[in-house]
Amino acid sequence: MSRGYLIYAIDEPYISMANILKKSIEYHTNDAVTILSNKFPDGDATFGKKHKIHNFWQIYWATPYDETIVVDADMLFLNDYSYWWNYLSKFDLLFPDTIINYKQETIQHPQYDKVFIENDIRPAYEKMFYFKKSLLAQEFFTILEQVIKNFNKFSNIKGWKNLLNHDWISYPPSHMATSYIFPICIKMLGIEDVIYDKNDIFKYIDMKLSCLNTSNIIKWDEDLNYWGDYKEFYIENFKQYYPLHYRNAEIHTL
Amino acid sequence: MPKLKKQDQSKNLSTLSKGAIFLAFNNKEINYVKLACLSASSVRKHLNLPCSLITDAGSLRHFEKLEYIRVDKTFENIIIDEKTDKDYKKDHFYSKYKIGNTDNIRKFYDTPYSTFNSQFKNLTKHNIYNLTPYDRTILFDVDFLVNNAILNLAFDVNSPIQLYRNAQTLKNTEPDHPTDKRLNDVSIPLCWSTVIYFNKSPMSKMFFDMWKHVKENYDYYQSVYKFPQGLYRTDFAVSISMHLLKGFNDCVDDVFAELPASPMKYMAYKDDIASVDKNGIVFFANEYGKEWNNILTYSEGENLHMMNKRAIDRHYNKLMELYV
Repeated sequence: MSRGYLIYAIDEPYISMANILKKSIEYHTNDAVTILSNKFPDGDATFGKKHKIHNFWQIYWATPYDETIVVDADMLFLNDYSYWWNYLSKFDLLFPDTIINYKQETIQHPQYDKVFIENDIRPAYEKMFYFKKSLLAQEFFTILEQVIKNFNKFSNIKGWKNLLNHDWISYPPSHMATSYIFPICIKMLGIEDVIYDKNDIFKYIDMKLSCLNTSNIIKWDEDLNYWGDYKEFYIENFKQYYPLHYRNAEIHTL
Repeated sequence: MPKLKKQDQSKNLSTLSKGAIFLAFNNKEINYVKLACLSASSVRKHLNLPCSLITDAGSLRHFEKLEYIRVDKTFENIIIDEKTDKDYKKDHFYSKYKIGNTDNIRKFYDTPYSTFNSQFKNLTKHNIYNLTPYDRTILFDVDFLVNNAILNLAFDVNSPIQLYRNAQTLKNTEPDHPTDKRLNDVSIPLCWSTVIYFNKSPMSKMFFDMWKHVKENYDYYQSVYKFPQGLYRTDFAVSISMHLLKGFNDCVDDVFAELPASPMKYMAYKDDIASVDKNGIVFFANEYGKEWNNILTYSEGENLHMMNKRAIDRHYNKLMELYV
């Protein structure tokens, strides 16, 4: 069984970020890394689009590996997490159940996405996830294709209410982002019970402002002290262990 | 060196001396030696540990003159820390925190309605490692009252350093003041130096040496960890030392354990004692941000960090009756 990391990155600055991430993975591990920015089996559907995630569903068919960990381009590997592979191979599709902030505090679901929680949909923490070539994963990516291709049906109030099967007023996702469409797909398939890592082994650090448990921060890369590079990285003197999702911050030391 | 068998190890452990230690340096406002007598009485009653006092000659004279009792009735050992006064005067650090002719001034509350300024002589607390006469020691702040035997379990835990990382108010809620939770909301969690278990081991020595290092470079660490400027707080120094020794991580490990029966319950400076009965204490728990609002709470059989020292003084005799 082949194993490797796949980074989905279309256009700049994501391709540059993906290259830094690739370098960080290769520094800490001996695992294979692929950056997916073209050569999509079903063609490139992102031309002229603002949010370039229209090809995301093709990952399943594009990956050269039997087992893949998909990572967002704006992440950084800071340690060798090779021990994950043997654990992950027990699953067909796995997302982190919880993630942490740079202070190692567990992020609560409502902090991550209050609106989704109010609508009884939990966040998927899809910035890093694992899948194996399997029926469940294929099913997931197939529904993902449908949701991406028919996103306009969910992004209006009528479609949103139909999906949620309730009548109260709630606001549909405003634009196509993985953090919206992944939870929708998981909800539609009803697989919440099997695809989250209940053992909390598989996780990453997220720098989303609402999850930092602090006020007065507008841009974390300007308001917090950080130093280091992909070999080791510190934020406010906390040494970061897990993969860091730095969210488009301009980290000048990389 | 041959390895000890498990049986020998436990035998060895039982021969190691254990005890409680208190630091008390009086000033014009607070009679710390008197508070230490109360705290030591609670330790003797509930933990049955020998107690030692570290003080200076002036504090001892002051106490004995005012109270007409001898401290050697409460403490097995009285260690006069001769260096203290000299250290305080020499320490370049102190001149920074000087107000008038007095060093390291802290504003103390006695309920929300009364305040007073008092010197806070805590710069040499890290030196306790060298001064303790015991192999295994629990260091108590003099405003800590022991009301059950659970802290004796610390001697059975195989961790060289144990302290409280969590605290709760008299209303069983998390601390109201942000710096009683973290040094800053972007920074590390606060660890309390109120009660510290330690043994004579290289790891413990490293911890107290690191504490000294943090104290000596307090300004630098203030800029790194972003805690409020001004007063030297040993809680901050301890929290930073632990974070540095843990490799800049906030993780659970075997070296630094949480003391038994965490969280530590505390009476805040703005709380007051309503009355003391034969089993427990009735408090006025003041509401943070609503100073006019006090809630009656009762505590019995719980260890208590009694921050409002003037309140202890007002009810001293009644409190002492709990421990005789």
